Amino acid sequence: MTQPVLRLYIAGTSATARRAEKQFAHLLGLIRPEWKVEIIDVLERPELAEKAGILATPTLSYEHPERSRRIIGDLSDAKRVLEFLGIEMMGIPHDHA
Amino acid sequence: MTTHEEDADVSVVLERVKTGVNAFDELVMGGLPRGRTTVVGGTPGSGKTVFATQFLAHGITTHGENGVLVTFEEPPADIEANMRGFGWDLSAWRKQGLLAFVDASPSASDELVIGEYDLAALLSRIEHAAKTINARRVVLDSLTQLFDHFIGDPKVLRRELFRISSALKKAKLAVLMTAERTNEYGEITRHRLEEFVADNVVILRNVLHREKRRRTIEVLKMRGSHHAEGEAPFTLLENKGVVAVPLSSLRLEQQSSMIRVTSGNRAIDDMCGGGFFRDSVTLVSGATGTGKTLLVTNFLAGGVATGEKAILFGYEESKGQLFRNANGWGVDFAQMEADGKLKVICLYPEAQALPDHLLTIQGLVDEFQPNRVAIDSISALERIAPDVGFREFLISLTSFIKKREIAGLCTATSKSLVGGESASEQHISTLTDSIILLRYIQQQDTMHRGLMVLKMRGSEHAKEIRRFTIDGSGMHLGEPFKQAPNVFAGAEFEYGR
Repeated sequence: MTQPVLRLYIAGTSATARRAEKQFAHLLGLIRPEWKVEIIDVLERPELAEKAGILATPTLSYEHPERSRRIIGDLSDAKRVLEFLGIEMMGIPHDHA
Repeated sequence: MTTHEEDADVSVVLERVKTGVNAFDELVMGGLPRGRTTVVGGTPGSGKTVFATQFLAHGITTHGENGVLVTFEEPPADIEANMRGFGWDLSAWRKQGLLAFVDASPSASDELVIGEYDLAALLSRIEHAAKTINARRVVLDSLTQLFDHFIGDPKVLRRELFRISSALKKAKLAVLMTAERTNEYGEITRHRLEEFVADNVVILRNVLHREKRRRTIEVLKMRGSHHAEGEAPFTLLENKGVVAVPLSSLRLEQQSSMIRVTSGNRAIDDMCGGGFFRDSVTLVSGATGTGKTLLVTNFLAGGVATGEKAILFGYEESKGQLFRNANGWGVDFAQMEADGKLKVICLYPEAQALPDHLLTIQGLVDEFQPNRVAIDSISALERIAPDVGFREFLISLTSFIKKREIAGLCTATSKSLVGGESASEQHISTLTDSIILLRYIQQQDTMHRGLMVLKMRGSEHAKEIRRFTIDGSGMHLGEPFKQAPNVFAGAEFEYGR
């Protein structure tokens, strides 16, 4: 199926990884609930990082057969992140966490 | 960023990992140390990827050590295709589980980097690949590409590279990373990343000198061990990869035998005290037309007549010309070749670079296994060589000939017709065991030819200058000159009474 997927690649349980997970959760609150979402720990699943060609963590990847987009690093600016990924925000404007 | 742990490591004897470039392994005292990171720097096209791939290929084919190739530049399929020409079948090794790629080549997707990140995913992938195939060697090619990929704070990348390097070292892998340089002489690598990761630094150069490319390899730094200094020439060969030319000046270990062999001319044998030594190199120097090629012809024919095999490398005349000359002196080269006793190779000096000429000579000598070798002339080769390269060439050539315990004869053309020295003569005279001078000597209104043995290492030799003539049956030595002319001084007139 060509259902678009949002994947977050993190490394272990470091502070950076936990922050990225939090920021990701916040992002998900801003978009349509039917998005398919995965969180991948590259230390546990290196073969998935290999398959996707991920070098850095955290990486948020919007994997789509037509156009894949990736954001590396800080995901706190939700508006900028979603804009870059080309994902529509839902309804009411939201305060940044 | 040296830790105490690393300092302690230096004291133990480091296991050496052979690179597959023999002459290079000699420079670094046996190979690259295991559990260390070596950065190989070079400008684009200097041979970094070939060197790095050879390091992996040699491990796989010769030492049963599997390897991981992390590629930041070209996708694995391209590398497999590019390296096939060097005789390395990477895709077969990959299928057999001897080689694994970590593909970090630029992806098709759009990327945005904001703020802090790390390269934990890359390290995890490398470790995973290494574990899967039980690798002992890892190559990262090239780091510079990684820096160009992540536009942002280079400090982050240096820190991350240091982490990757430390982790791979701890896993007792031999790590080789390549990095780009902008200039042949200057900053070691772009972004100065070697300062952060390298225990050892090796530089590959590809310098344009007098319209010729000259490739060299230099060991800049080896943490905790010795290495040879200076640039060693190398070449890239089909089906072989990097072949460095050994600088035999490092060792003078060739045997010295007292066995005499004929020069092909009885009178010259007598002048030399019974012939040339078997494992010696003789230089014949003279102006054009003095009979150098004739001496070469005699030398080859004399060997073949006693059942030896001989090889000739000609850089001045074509094979046809050489054969015709020989016929003119009553020597049948064609028959000797047909009998498998003689091999004549004629090449334009300009056909290849000097290190390649040396490898050609070595390759053919090892293949044909001759008892004597002649080179006509050294001066023709000097034409194509940058100064430094020529001396290295001569050193390597003469020591190669001696090590094989074969008799060598080289000719050099002096520039002036009467007397004088050629540059190659200056270069080679200290390296050869014997020197024979052929000179035009003017006495009153007649021009004579004179021959003298100037030097004969380890033996007595005649000191006089002998008159000689050349006719249809070769060279004939006559009486010594009575009024000794000055054979070095050029156009000096000696009037006999």
